[in-house]
Amino acid sequence: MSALRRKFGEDYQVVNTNRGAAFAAPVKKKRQRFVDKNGRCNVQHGNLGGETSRYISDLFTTLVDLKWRWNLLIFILTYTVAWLVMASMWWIIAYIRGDLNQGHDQSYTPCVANVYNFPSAFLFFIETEATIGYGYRYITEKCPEGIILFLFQSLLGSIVDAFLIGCMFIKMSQPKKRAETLMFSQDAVISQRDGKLCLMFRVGNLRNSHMVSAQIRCKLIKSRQTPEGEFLPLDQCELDVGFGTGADQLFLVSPLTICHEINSKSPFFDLSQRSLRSEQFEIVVILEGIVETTGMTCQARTSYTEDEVLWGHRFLPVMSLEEGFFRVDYSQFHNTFEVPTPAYSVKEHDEKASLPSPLVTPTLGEGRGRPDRVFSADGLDAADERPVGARLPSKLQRMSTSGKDELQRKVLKLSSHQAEKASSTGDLPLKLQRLGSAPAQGDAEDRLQLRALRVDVGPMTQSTGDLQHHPPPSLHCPTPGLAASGRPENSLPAKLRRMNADR
Amino acid sequence: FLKWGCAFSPERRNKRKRQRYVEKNGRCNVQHGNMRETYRYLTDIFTTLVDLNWRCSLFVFVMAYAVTWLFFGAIWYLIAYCRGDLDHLEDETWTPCVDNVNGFISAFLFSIETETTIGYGYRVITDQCPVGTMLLLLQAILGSMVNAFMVGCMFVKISQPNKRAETLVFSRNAVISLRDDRLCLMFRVGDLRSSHIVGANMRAKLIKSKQTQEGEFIPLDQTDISLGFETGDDRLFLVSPLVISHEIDSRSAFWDMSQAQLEKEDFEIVVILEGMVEATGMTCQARSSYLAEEVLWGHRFSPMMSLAEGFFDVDYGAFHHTFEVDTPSCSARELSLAAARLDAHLYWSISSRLDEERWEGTNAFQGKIWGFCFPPPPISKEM
Repeated sequence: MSALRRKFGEDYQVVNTNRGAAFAAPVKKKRQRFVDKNGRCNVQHGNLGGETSRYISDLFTTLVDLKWRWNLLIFILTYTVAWLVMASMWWIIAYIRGDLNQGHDQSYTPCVANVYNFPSAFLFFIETEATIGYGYRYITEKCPEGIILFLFQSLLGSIVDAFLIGCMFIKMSQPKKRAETLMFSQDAVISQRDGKLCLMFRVGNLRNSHMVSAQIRCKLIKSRQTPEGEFLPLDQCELDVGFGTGADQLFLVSPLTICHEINSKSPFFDLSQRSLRSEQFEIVVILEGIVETTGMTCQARTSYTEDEVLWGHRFLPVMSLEEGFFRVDYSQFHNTFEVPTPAYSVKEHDEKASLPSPLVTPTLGEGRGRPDRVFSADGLDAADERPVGARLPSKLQRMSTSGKDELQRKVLKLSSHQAEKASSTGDLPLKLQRLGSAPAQGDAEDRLQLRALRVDVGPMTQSTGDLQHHPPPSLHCPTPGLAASGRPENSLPAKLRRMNADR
Repeated sequence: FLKWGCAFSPERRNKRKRQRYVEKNGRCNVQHGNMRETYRYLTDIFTTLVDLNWRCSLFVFVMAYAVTWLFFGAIWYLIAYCRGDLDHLEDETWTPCVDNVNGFISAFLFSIETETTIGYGYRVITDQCPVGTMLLLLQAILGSMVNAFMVGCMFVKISQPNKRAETLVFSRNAVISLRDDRLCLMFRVGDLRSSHIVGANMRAKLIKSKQTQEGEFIPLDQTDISLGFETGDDRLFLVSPLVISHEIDSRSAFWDMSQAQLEKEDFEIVVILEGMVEATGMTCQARSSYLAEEVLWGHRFSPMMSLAEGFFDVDYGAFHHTFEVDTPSCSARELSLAAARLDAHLYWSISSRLDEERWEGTNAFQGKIWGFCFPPPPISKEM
């Protein structure tokens, strides 16, 4: 809804620019898309000069690439105009031979029996060309030039026939038509998944036949200027949707949500909700695969401009379990709903996480700081190539990697009681993590945080109560990986250890 | 371990019947409903026609021809009617449009003879009928177009590469056992024909619903199971049945899964084999799936190949057979930790001191080593 409002707002501004900046959103001029929503590309090739002969050399592709109306026109023109021209040659032979005046003279043997005017010559030609051959009009053996023309016509007829039929068949069975039954969502959304900010869109296959070797690729089209001063218009940059791990090879049976994780390697690293409104880019999505029936590769494309990317939304679920099968409801395919998402970029999050002060200060009233923790703890898991000592101590790293699973499970048990109240579930894991992620910087801060723990809401204390009374883990349990290496006498790390070791 | 296996089997039978995403033969249990944009199916009419089952295809084939014949037959009859040919049937001097067309049946027969280019010759078009000439032209063109389309559809339907998947077989069960001291999830794939699958590659997806931290419930979430994507081991040379193995390492989804947990788990592994049919060069895809209860812990596949006189003999009777082997029932993570601990004892004589402490991390371990001025042992297993 908000996206719709935004779109209309912008259009309104484009029309009434003399009204001034009456709206909060900045005035954006109507921009030209590189790729349409249906995959058609807005590029025209001009000023080819002497290169047009190439199109004639590759006549087959030129014919197949034409639109249907031009194809049919060429087809019909070939079959009528060429035929008229060729038929007139039969008539010329008859004229030269003097058959035309003979009429129905029984003793005279014309070149072609019963051809004595142009209509009959034309009919004879059609009958020969289409290999109908009724038999009323037939060629006699008294006419050598007729025999030569007859041979020529038969051969040419077969060749032209084969060519045109072949073009027609290829045009009908074009695999690019398969792209019509591959659907992409109208909008892309940005929201959090497992603490990581992700750009997501949905792709669906409307048929029961599969797409073999389906592979998805994503390109970001954005003009930029290099530091050396070179202006790159519509520069294309790759968005990772799982190329390294093989996750871009899809098993596309029911609608899938394709997720691009926004991390330091992503071009959206410094994209925040605010900057999204003032940026200008286009995300082109390409889905390639082999049509199961014909074995030909097809490509489906779509694009998302910056106003079609919704910050803080999530896709509505479309799958439901019925009796003996799964049912997909396509009426909900494009629909999204809003979820609370922090409005600032991943870069800002990481920067905040690296600062020591936010970790120490009590965050009772601070609504902003909480999502920070979730990001920082999880951001460490993702970026293993970052220097270990850069953000948080190694103890913290290991704690978050192994203890996270148990924490998540506890969160799931809690959150399952409440329906999708994303705000509350977002707070819960955070509080648990905050306790786990705080480095042992001193007893004062620890005590402060423990106090903060006790102040929390009901389900919160219930869960922590569970955690605190758990006995130390046995040898064969997967250990939480928390090292109390240098300080076994510190009470807090032991307590934290026990909390995180809870199964 | 055998005792554990027996103890857990009654629980396995009590699990509720789970709806499969993909059947064992590769068919997917998904139906598309509430689709408003039906124009899409018409724009891609070719695939719609080829996707139909054989009954509907034949029906469409017959209908396409019958309708065009009847339509043109009716027009020939109309021409004869409007010209007045039907009133002058006995008249010798009258030249009709088409000779010997004296009713609807003969008009229909003439239409068939023209469109299928048989042209017997008893019914002939005369040159006194320009309208008829136009109609003849039109019918000849349309006839060849419809012919091309129908024959093309039939041919494509017959030579569909996905039929090749019928002769690609997967084992009924997947097994988990040790290979080179690592737990591996394995299944078997075989090709029943002598002709090859060119460029065969194997993929697997784990289908498991999950809920994210933020509360988003993702039903049937698909995650990739690595079958050797980085090393190229997923590209197969499939002439005899191969056992495909997924090594359960720290990045795998099964890292924390022990035998006890496998009994309680609820997931589905979809395996996909893609490759080109050698004869036609068209890519085909064979699929199968394994539910959690079809994964056997501590089994191994029976060997099938034996050396005969001048060739290798494959016995497909043993394709699905497995036999039990000694396998630790703990998860792969616990196994790697235990193995690391075992390694440590080789370099250490003060093992008693170590047993008291809780092993909680690489740095703790290394800290102790440095503390005692020994070089750290090579950590081959991940902690």
